[in-house]
Amino acid sequence: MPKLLLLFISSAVVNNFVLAKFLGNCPFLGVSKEVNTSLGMGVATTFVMVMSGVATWLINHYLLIPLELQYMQTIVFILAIATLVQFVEMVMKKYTPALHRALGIYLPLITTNCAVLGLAVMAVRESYSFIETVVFALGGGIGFSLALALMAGLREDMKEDLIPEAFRGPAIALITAGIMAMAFMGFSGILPS
Amino acid sequence: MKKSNLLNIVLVLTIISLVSAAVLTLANDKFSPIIKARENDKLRIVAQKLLPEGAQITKVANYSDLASLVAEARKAAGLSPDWHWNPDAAPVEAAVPAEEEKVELDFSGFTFEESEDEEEVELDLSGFTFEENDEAEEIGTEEETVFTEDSEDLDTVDFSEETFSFGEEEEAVDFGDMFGDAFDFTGGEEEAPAEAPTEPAQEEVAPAFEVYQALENGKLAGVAVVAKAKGYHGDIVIMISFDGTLEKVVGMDVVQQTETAGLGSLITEEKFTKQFAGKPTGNPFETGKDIQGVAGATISSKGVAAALQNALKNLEQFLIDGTIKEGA
Amino acid sequence: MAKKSLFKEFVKGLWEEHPNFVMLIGLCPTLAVTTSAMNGLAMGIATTFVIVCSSILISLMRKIIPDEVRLPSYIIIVATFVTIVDLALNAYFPEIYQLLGIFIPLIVVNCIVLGRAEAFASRNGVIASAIDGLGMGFGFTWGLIVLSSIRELLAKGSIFGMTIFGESFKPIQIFGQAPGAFIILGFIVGLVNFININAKRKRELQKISDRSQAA
Repeated sequence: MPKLLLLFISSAVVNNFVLAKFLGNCPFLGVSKEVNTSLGMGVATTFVMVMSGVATWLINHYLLIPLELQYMQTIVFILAIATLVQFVEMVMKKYTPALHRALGIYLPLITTNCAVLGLAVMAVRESYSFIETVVFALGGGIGFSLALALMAGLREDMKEDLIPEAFRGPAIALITAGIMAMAFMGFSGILPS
Repeated sequence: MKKSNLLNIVLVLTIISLVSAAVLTLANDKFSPIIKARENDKLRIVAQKLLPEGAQITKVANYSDLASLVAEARKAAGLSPDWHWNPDAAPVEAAVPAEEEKVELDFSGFTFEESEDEEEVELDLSGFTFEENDEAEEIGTEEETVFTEDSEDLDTVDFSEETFSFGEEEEAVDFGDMFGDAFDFTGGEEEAPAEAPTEPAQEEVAPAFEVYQALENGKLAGVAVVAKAKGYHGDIVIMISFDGTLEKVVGMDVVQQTETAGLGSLITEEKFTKQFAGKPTGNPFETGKDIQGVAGATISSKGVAAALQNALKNLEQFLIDGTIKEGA
Repeated sequence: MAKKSLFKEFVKGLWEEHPNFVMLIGLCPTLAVTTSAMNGLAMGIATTFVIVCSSILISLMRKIIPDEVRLPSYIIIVATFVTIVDLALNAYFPEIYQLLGIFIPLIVVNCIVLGRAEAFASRNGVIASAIDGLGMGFGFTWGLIVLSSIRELLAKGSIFGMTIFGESFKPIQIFGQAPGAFIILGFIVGLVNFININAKRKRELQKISDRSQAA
């Protein structure tokens, strides 16, 4: 149990997907202008990450490994993720239209979020067990949402600031992200040595 | 584009998938033998680098052949035919003159500072038993004798914060087991999360132990040993080579590692690996004693140390009965 | 298509629509693998290969692929090329393969590749698509080389493994790690913006002065 908790903390803050592993940077910069939309994106991504973590673990262990098709991993995983995202969108639209209205627009973007595929590939390379994969995915998703929401908050605050014209927008966002990444490096102390 | 019916969609998707699967299967058939062959060949190439040039290098299959070759080489050098690794021997720095000794202990290169509540008489005693007795480690632990090292100051080395006690000896040896699981939550204090970790290519099955011998005119010119231990991210596989008498280290190289890029991965750099050349094998091979760790990457450095210890332990056992002790 | 516009397709990826510095897409590999100039170059070449090959194939098949399953088809095609690159790198360049790690399979979700497929290759001829892909790939590659050279220089004092700063140089480790990547890219983006804004301003001033002279 403490092991799983550590895995969760590790993937959420210490080895944050966005700020330490450089995964999911496109939405991190693209959808971080307002706190509300960034939270929506974060929730949707976390959901898809956990689902796809489960799906790719099952595919890998019950299809690719028995058939010795590990070299097809990339193509099968990305197709599984794309299908899953489509499926989630369909289900949401039918049964929870309110939720779909809130999160629907982010779903297509998630397929090409490298955090999702990256999570699946990393879980395989680290040979995580099923439970570990789920915890890893959950931690990764929450870490992603955290980074996104913090960034959005900072950017909302920065809107009124006097920033040199050339640095407005993505440039200052990247530098802010660098400073955030430094702060997140400080979390490495909470893991036991 | 015109609107297509369902059949068309399914057909096109199926064809694309099938073609792609066929192409990938072909590609895999072409590349995977090369990948496998390289994995097998990698060790031999490293062995060639670490063993004397021009010698005939072969992988050792039969332990008794190697044992008799070693015995021969040692006799020729006027040594006892049986070789044993003595981890309790005093650490010897390769090219560093012995520092002044405050206490009469056979730790050239180290100075001792008694811990505050300890009397010098006791210290002497502990030092004495340490030389005589294998269980001296326990005494060392009780007394917590602290000694700091000040022998070398390479720019990669940062000893300023490190103190070592006898009690740590066991930890260093068992290090691989302590962090048995492949999680990377070790060492918060030294390795930053940082940088995309270079992940292992695939489930590479690196051997826990392998021996290569180099023959020159029928005589043993060198022996290279493969060993592994856990690092910060995964296994560290090293190869260490000795001269024919097994008295001296000729070279060391890291064969495979997945440590943090730019930090733990510095164990592969020559700055770190060259320190082993010329060291006598009668060394404990512990970081902070006779190994200069990479600054900021204590766990990776300790992983290398543990692998070196495994190499020596395994080689000793292998020469006796062809089995190995660690990582079997 | 005329020769001049083909040249334009090629050049636009190098500056005007530069993927890393102007469009800000494909940032994950840009930030992650640029710890040394060699890594940046290798990643750039691998990505260029995938962009060009998949652009050609998608452009060839643009009339066959039904609109509804456009994206899945593109994904399969791109993923196939990525897997080939992955296997080939593992077979022939194992060191590079180890260094690039999971970012080789992640070329599949690099927005540049799918973006070019969707925005250009699905609408244009084979040659134009190939040129467009090549331009974008080269733009991406030089972007990576610039960023990784700066990072390598600051973090190790060398470029492509060649020592530039002497022994007295104290490496600034942070630039080899995550925060350094973000900060340096931020400054490059700012600089590129600055140059573009200045150029634009100059053109406008020129126009005004032209007009006033005419009047």
